[in-house]
Amino acid sequence: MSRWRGEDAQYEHQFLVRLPPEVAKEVRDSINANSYKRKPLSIDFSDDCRRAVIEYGHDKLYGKMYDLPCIIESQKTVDRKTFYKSADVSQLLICKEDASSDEDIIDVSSMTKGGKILNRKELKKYAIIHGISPPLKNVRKRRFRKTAKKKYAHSIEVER
Amino acid sequence: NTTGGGVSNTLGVRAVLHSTPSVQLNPKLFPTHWTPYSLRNFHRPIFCRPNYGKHHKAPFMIRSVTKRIRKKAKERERARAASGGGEIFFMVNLEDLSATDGEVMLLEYSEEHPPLIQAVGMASRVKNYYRKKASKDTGPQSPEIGEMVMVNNNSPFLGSLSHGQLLQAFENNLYRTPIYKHKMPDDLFLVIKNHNGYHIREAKWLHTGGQLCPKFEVPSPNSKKASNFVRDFLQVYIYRLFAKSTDNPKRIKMDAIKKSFTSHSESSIRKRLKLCADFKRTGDHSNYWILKPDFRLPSEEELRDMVTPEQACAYACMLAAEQKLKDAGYVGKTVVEDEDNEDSQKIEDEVKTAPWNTTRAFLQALQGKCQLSLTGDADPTGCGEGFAYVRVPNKPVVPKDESNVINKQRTVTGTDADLRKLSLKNARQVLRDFGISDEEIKKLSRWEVIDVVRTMSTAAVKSGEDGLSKFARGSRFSLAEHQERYREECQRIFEIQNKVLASEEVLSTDEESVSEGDDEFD
Repeated sequence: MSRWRGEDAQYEHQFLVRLPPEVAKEVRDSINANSYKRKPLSIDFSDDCRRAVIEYGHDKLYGKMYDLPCIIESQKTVDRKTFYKSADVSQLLICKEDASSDEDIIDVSSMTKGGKILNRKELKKYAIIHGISPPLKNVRKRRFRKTAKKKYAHSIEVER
Repeated sequence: NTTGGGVSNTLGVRAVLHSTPSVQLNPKLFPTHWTPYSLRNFHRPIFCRPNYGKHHKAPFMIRSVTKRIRKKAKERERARAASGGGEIFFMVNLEDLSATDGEVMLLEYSEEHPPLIQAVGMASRVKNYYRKKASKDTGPQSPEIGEMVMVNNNSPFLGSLSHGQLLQAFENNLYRTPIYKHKMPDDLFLVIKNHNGYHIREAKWLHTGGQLCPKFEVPSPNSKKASNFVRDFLQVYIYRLFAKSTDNPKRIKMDAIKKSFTSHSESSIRKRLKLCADFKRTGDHSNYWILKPDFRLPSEEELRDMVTPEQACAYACMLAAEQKLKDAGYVGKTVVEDEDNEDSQKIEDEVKTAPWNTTRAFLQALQGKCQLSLTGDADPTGCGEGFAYVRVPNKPVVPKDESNVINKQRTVTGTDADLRKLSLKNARQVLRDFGISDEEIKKLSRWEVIDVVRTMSTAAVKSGEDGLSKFARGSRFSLAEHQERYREECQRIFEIQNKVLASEEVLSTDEESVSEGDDEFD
C-alpha cells in the first residue's frame, strides 16, 4: 500500500529537464506569455524510463534521464516565508537536438507498461557527477566523503 | 555560552506549522514499510512508471501551469480578503502540496547524506540573519524570500557573522542550514507528473544548502527510542483506522494493518489492538476487531502529540543510514555505539558519521557537554570544507608521548628544573640561549632573570619548540585558550563553507564528462 518504490512516497513525481538553449528560450517565452498551447509539447519514455523523446511542435528532442548527485527539494511557498516541501527532485532529463547514438533512438512502438528497475551496475551509467548549482559542480568526485568499505561487504544485489 | 560557536537555538522561536497530511502521518508521505531498495534510494526517487494515471496514454502531453498558478493565487487572495487579511492556512490536502501552483524554490543540499531529511508536506522557514555594522546601519537590502532576523554575537551557526554580513538560513524543527542563492540556469525546467498528467514550469529560485545544524536527535538502531517509535507509530495508525471507521460499533480488520506493516509480526500487531479492541470470531462482526465500548479514542490533537512527523523522519533517516552501513560491510554490534561508552575512539570512523552519532554529538556540543572534532574523517565533504560532528572532550587532550613532560613538571622540586636552585650564572646562560644580549641581561636582577626564563620557556613550549620545556610552567594550554582555539577553528570552517557555497564561479572541469561512466563513485 505505501511502499516507497520511488515515486509512491510522494504525492507528485517531479524531475528537472534541460533543453537546448534555443528551445529553452522558446519554451520559456511561451510559458510566460501563456501562449504555450500554440506548440504542443509531449514526452514519451523507454521501458526503463531512461530515454525519452520530447516533441515540441515539429522539433524532436532526444533525452536521457540522469540521477543527480545531491538531494534537491522542491519547496513551495505562497507567502515567501514559509516553505512546504513538495517533492524530492533527484533526476535530470538532458535533451539534445540530435540523437548522438543508436541508443538514443528509442522505439516508440515498444512503449511501455512501465516499471523496470535497473540494477546497481546499470544505474551507474546514469549517475551525473555535477549538481545543478555552480558550487556543486563535480560534487560527486570533489566534495563527497568516500565511504570506507569493509572487506566483507556483501553483495547488495541479493536483496530487493 | 562557553563552548564556542555560540549556536543558539532560541533565535526564531516561532514554530513551523506542517501541512495537515504531514501531521496526520499520511501513508503517502510517511511509508509504513521500508525495503532495502527504498532505503538505498532514500529521498532519491527514481522515475519508473510513466503511465501513472489511467486517462493518459503515450505520448504524454506536457502542459504549462501558468494559468493555474494565477488562478490559485487569486483564490488565495480572495480567501485572505474574506478572512479580514489575516494569515490563512492553505496546506490542508495533499493537492495543496502540488508544485503546479504557488512559487517554487529548488534547494540543493551539498551533503551527500544529510543526517536529517524532511518528508514531503513538512514546513520550514527562511530566515535572513543579519549582523549590523558597527556604525549607523539602515540594514541590508531585503532578499526576495524569508524574514529578517538581527543578530549580534549570538550567532545561530557554529561561526559568527561579521558586521554587515547577511546569511540566509533554511530552518525547521529538524535542522537549520545556511543557504546560498544562485541563478537558476536558463535551460532548466521543472516537470511535474501527477494524476492530472505532465506539467512544466519554471522554478523561481535556486539555493545551495550548507551542512545541516541538527536540532533533532536521530535514534540509534535498536535503541529504546527507536523501538518506542515503532510501537507508537503502529498504535497511532490503528487509532486512526478506528477513527475512520463508519461502522457502529467501530471495527477494523487485521488485514488492513498487516498489508501496510509487513515487517511486523501478527502477534505484535495483536498486542497493540488488544489495548483498545476485542476480536470477534463469530456473529455479525466475525473476524473483526471491535473497539471496546469503554475505550475513548484519542482525539486527533492527542494523536498528533503521540507521534510527530519529526520522529518519523528521524527514524527513517536511521534506517537509511543503517542500510548504508550494512551495504558497506558494517554489521551487528559495531553499528551501534554503546550508550554509556564515552570513549568515541573505539568506534570505527564510518560509524562515527552515522546520523545517530553526529546529531547527538552536535546537540551535546551545543549544551557544552563536549566539543566537536571539527576536522577529520567524519567531515562529510572529505575535503575540509565541512565540520566533523564527532564528540571530543571539552578539556585539552594530552597526547601520550608528551605526558613525560607533564610528569617532570609535577616533580619539579629537587630536580635540576627547580627554578629556586637555578644559579644566576646558569640562568643567564639560558637567556643567552634564547638570544638575549648580555647588555640586556646585566640590567636584570636575579628574580627578574628567573622570571624571564620562566616566561620564555613557557612561551617556547606553547609554540611547539623542543628542548626548552624544563623551565616551562603551567599546563600547555589553559582551558580558556583551548576554547578560544575551538572557536577559531569553527569560525575558519564556517567561513570556508560560506565562501565555497556562495561562489558563482564554475570550477573548470571537463564539460563533456557528464556521466560517471565506469568510475567508482560510492
